[in-house]
Amino acid sequence: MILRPGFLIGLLAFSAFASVGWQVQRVKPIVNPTIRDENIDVGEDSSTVSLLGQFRTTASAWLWLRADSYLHNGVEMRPLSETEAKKGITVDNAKDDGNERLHAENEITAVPSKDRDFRGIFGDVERRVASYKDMHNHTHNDPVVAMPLYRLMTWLDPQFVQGWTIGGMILARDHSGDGTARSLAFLREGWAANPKCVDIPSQIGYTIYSRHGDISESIRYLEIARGNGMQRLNVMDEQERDALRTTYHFLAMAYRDAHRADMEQATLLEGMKVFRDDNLMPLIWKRQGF
Amino acid sequence: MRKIRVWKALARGVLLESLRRKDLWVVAILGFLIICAAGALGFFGINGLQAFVKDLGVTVLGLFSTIMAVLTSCRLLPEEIKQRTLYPLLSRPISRFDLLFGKWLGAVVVTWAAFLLLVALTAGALMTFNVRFEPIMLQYVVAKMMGLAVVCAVSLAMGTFMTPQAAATLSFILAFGSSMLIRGLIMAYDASNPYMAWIFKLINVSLPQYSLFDLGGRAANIGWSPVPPWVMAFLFTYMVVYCGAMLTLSWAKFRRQTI
Repeated sequence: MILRPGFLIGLLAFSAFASVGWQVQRVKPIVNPTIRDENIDVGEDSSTVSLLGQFRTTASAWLWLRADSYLHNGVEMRPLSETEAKKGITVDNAKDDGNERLHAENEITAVPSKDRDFRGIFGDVERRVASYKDMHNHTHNDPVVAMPLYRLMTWLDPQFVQGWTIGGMILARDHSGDGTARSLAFLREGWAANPKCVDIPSQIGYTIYSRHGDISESIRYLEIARGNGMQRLNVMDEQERDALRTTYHFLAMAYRDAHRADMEQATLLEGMKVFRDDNLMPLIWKRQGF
Repeated sequence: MRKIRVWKALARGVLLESLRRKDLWVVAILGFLIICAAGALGFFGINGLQAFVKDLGVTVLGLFSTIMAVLTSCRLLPEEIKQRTLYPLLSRPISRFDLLFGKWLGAVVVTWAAFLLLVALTAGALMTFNVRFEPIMLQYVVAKMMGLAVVCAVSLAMGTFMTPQAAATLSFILAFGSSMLIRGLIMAYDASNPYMAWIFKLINVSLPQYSLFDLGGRAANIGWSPVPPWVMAFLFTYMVVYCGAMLTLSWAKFRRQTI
């Protein structure tokens, strides 16, 4: 059989493409690492970023914003900018409806209220046509409404840690054993996709601690979260640092309940060294008489 | 009466040209994409996702119909000039304003037809998911149609001042970025000095207020009441005034243009 040059070149090209395709999984840890900056910048507080934050275009970020919108029944919210905070504009805080993570929003309505709008009739009309209402002391729709979106966003972007933790929190709102089990299953799925993160094992540990009362199992997860945090202490973003801080709080309390004073003391010491500005750990330290 | 006949004939020409160029095929393809996307959502199960599906529906409708409005309107005049089909048109007893108005009317008809086609397809897709429709949905459609008329007027005006490509780019920036610009103005207004504050006010009234025609947020979410009649009346007045201003601007440029 005579091999024509064209056929040979085609075969070589195909082989080259196939080998590149074969090796492509190797670059996954580089282009899509299992731990990265998961925080979506909508929480940034400069005016420009606050504005542009609404235009993040990745699918999971968009879904995240949609989920936030559904929790507010379509009322679009945005973070308060530094300038606005200096001007004394108050945040449209939520009523304390038991959703700690949803309550701490620090946001105002994207469509401005009449007192901070210079547009006159245009502003009045926009407040009528947009899904707008006064959001001071607002409530949220049942987060379960948005749960399918959290499933969709974590399916699209498994490294989006916030999607897993908020989704886990929503499922855990069902205080029955079934709700806790579903929350833990969801969080464990997220942890498998993000084995080096702090937030997810920390939340698993906290959920087990608060719902099952299985202290030793809870400590196991909280220790994993602490270990992950210590390994990545210098590269963590603000959100993950907060998760680590919470991990120290719960770990200290879990050791206290397990009557392991030495471990509680060591945890608090380490935690106070890492988070010098923390108020709770010195308080526990003092109360325990260390 | 003769004017109306002229405008009707010109609008019909735009519609036929659009059919000849198979623009509505693009709409059909976009509609097919809507059905496919709905099918994909159905595959994942939409239990609890009704609000999301409705939201997605109004977003897609807004996006596709705006693209259609811009692409139809901004090429109308430059193409007539480029293909030299403007000469036989102007040799007839019609004024340049009639020509502009008829073209704009045609662009509006084409855009509305495309929008209503997409509405029908989206409604069909939503109905298969048992999504409930509220009266505000009707207001959403009417307001959106008025907004699309403004998009057509702005794009047509851009087309008289620049090349179709530049006109399309600028029209898209305005269509998708004007609400962001206005939000930016509101945020910056408090920190500005009195002179800048006046400039911000001037920019605000000059920019097309497309976001006022978008009732999608209310239509997609649950429990929002329809908007009061005075708001719809205001939107209608705004549409008439802004379209009038854009057509006048186009005419001011076009009437002195040597062809």
